[in-house]
Amino acid sequence: MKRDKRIINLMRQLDIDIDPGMDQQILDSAQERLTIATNTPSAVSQSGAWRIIMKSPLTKLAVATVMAITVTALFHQIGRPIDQVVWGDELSARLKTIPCFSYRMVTEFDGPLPEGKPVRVEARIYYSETLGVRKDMYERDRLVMTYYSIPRDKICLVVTPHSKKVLRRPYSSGSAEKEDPRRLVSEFPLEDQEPLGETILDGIEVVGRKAGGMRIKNYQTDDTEACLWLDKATGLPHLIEIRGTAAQESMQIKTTFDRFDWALPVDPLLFEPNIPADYQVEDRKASVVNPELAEEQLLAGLRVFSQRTGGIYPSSLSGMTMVLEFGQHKPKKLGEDTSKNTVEDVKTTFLALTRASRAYATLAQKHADVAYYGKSIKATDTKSILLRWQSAENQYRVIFGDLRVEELSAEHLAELEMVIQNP
Amino acid sequence: MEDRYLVLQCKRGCGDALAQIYAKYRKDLLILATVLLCDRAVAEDIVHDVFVHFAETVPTFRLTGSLKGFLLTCVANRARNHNKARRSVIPPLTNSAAEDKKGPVEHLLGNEQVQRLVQALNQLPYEQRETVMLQMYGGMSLRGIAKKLGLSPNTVMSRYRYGLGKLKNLLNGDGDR
Repeated sequence: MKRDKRIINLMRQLDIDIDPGMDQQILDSAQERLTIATNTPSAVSQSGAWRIIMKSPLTKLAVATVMAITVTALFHQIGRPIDQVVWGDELSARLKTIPCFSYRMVTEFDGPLPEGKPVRVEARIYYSETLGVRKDMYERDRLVMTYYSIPRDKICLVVTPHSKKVLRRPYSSGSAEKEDPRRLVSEFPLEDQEPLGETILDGIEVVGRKAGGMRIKNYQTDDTEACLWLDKATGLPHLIEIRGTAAQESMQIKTTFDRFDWALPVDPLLFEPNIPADYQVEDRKASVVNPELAEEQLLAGLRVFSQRTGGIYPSSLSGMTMVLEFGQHKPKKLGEDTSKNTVEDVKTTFLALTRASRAYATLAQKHADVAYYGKSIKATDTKSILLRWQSAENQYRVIFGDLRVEELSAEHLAELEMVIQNP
Repeated sequence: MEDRYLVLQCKRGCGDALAQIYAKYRKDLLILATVLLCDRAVAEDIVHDVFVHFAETVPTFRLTGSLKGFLLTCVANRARNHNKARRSVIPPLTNSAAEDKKGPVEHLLGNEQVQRLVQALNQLPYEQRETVMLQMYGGMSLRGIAKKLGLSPNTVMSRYRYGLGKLKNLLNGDGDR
């Protein structure tokens, strides 16, 4: 039934004076009941259970043993006084012992976007070592997607309420890792860290460090810079901010991880997919980058890009830049009118671009001394280096402008690069 | 935003999370109750009861849809019970009544058009007003309203259709025809 917009607009303007006294009274009563409701039952049942357990000498011994194991485990988990702030591997090791947590992730895009205004996407993520991951994603306060990664069933589900669809993919350990902010912490480069000092954020005393030039797997921006703020009292992350650019700095991207709850109780219901019966389920193949095929996927993406943009390459290989710059160059399929491009063709092209970007991230993580010259090299520059990385000691893998691949010695590479720098 | 997370925090006894839920929805709930019952004091009592009950039952509460929809339905249910208990239909707010007694128009803020809307809503039969408010103000689907109120979808649909038609007529100034 069609709704009357005029009436809805008027209804939205309805307002009412709130009496602060009444407000406080309602809140006080509700909070008092909440305290009783959340404390009383557990206190009764726990003390009751405790009395029963402690009646038997045998169970006394068993309980004492379990308690000793628990205390030892906790000691090992924490490893040091909790108020001590540690960084690097020590921090990663501390975070790895946390079995269940949640946090908020906000990503803000600003630049040449289709709607002409900044886009903000917010997600609340719940992570459990045993039950998997749940991610509720919101756009303008509307739930647009829920993602589940379920190790028990070996599946990942993407539920989109708007289209009433569920995409089902095979589970991979990378699916859970992708949503784990602890990975960001472990990738925070030790050598580049700049102290940010101490401050108070959200009423919490924090101490921060900043790192630039980060190569974070799956974080597809250029000039990435990250700030990590640790809660001084717990030594655990309180805020992580990542800023990056794309498409030669025309797009600014900021991602914030905050509202961490590092002591989230394990609630299986939270990780259980709740899918209405009328939703349509589609099966998809896993889209994981195979390190063995990374080079092949990267070449395929670069080929698609240059063929459809008249022989140029993206200025960087971050996913965002590849897609944006591809869009800016009126993509043209060789020998065909763009108007005849099918939706499937567009999908395949963008899949190739994003795969190439992820493949590059995989290669860049695996190999040292990676350099990309896409800003100045075209497909016609057959003797110029487009991309190179160290494949072995004194040995480099080199991709030329025409996407030819060769293995070169370090000396030979130096000679070629000298030509690029001094043409 | 994050209602599921706030509910989860409430389950753990977090008073701040309850305060956040209250701050987020109190106005919507109070407006709904005031429009439905035309009595600010009773509306405040209903919002109080809904939140206290929510706090008491949150340990076993499971959020299956929108929290706003759930709380609005709780207010609507309590308002209906209160209405039945009065054993009389709320009299329409005539001009003379408005002078004698402080009605919803005086409690609800807004420009002249909004005031007219409140007056018009107040002239709808209670059931129609309830359905129109839940759908148009609360953003709930008619099917969802039917389910939450325990009514058939057809009943809710016709209440909405008649209510909306009358509301439009009243706003267009031909309500007496």
